[in-house]
Amino acid sequence: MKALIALLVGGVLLGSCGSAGPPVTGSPSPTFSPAPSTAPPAPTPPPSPSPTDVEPSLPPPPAAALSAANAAPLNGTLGSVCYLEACGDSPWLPAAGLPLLELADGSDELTVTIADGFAFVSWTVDYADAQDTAGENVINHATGGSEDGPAMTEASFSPPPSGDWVLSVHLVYADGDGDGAYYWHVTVP
Amino acid sequence: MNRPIRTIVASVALIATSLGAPAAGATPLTPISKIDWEQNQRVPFEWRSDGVPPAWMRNAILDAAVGSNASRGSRAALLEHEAGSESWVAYTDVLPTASALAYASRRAPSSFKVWLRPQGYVFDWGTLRWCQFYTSAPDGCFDAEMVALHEFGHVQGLGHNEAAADEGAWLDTVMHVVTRTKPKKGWNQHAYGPCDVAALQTRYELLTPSTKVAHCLSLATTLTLGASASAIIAGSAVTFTATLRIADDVTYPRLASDPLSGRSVALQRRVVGGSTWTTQAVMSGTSTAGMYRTTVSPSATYEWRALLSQPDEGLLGDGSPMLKVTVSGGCNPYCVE
Repeated sequence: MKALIALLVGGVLLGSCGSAGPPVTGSPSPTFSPAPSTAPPAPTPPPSPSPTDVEPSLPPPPAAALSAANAAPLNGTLGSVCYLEACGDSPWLPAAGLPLLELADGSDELTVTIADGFAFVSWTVDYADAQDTAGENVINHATGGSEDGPAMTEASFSPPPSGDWVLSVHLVYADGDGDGAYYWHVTVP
Repeated sequence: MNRPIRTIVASVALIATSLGAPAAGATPLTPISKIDWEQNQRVPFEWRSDGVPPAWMRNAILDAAVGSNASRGSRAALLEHEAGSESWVAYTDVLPTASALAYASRRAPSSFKVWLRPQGYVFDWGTLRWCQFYTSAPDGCFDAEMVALHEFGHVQGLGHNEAAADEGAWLDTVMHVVTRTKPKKGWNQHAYGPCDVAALQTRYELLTPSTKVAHCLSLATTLTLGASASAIIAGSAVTFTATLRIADDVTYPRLASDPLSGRSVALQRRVVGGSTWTTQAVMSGTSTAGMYRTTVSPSATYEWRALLSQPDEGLLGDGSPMLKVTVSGGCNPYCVE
């Protein structure tokens, strides 16, 4: 019992160290040691509110969907985004938690489509191995349009080579409204 | 280190860094909002009462504000902490988007808001680690000062810059789409890149007429030359006055015709009808922005021009139209060089 209590107390202390920060002297705390294997599992992140919950004045940025010949459109997860006068900043998003698009044929063209009522002027496709959770080796795959060019609502491109990938499509919205990076987990046979 | 000393040292280093030549591959100017602050508008911010950052994060944010002010190269807004401000920065796990480390919204020219997630926040991809939290920052941490500077860039109106895939171009901007961790290139960039400064300069004009134009621009210039007399007696003095401005027809209306001081403007001469120019003097600046002056005593008639050779900044060189000063009583028709 005492050992169990000690473990629980230790887990609570480690958890509080993560958010409380160092002493008021302002010096950073010592390097964290990994939690012992018997510590309670890390909590899953709570579902985040929508932008309008946190900032009712912020209009939500547009969604974008990825589709293929034998795959229905699938909305991507939004990473970094600037829309009108608000911007959110994210790292490269890992495969876990991303919507999965499984291509039936490695030659199927992919098409990204922005939500109705929106348009974009340029697009860039990058991808990284699905195991590369930090995006250490991102490959630039395709690009199109230009900031001075005509607005469009969809763009098509060839898929990455055979493999298991995280694919990002960065769209620059029309009318100078901003940009957004959308992510999918894509498997190519 | 006391903050005033930190500010001075940071300013010198940051200005030098921010205006440097971008890598080959022509990184575009960072996009910038159409809605401006006033030029040099002081925009103070406070810590939101329910999201006061810990001391190590406050220092990083304050350093980022210093970095923004020092490296903006333009009359963009000045950011500084002041309690009771309308604008705020919050250290909180409630942000408008699920995947964001940080978020900024602006209501120029009134106020802005910045959110930064806490140390230890659990994302799908792992646990957030801010480098400044640690005595020895581990690989994979995010530099809070760099991220805060990026957010202040959004506050200034800068969007994301999809820089060239070439790693060499990465430092052309701090406004990347993807936030990088230690030790990837740019992970601890603490000044705006040249393509960020260029965007700010197009919107807010140069900080002063002597401020170098960021290398991400390539602005045409106009150089004119006048003389105090078009005809003199040998041995007399003539004063040449040159004016240097950004050309009228540049793409960025706010910069058009802006005077340029502190550049190296040469006064050159050639024999009448000749083709070889020789530099006689580097013209001195005057108290009037964009104006340069030199007095000479030519012994013969020459043709004269002012020349701005290709400067080491985002400007194109220019030569003024030629003018002739006729000298009587000296070498006739001209002195043999």
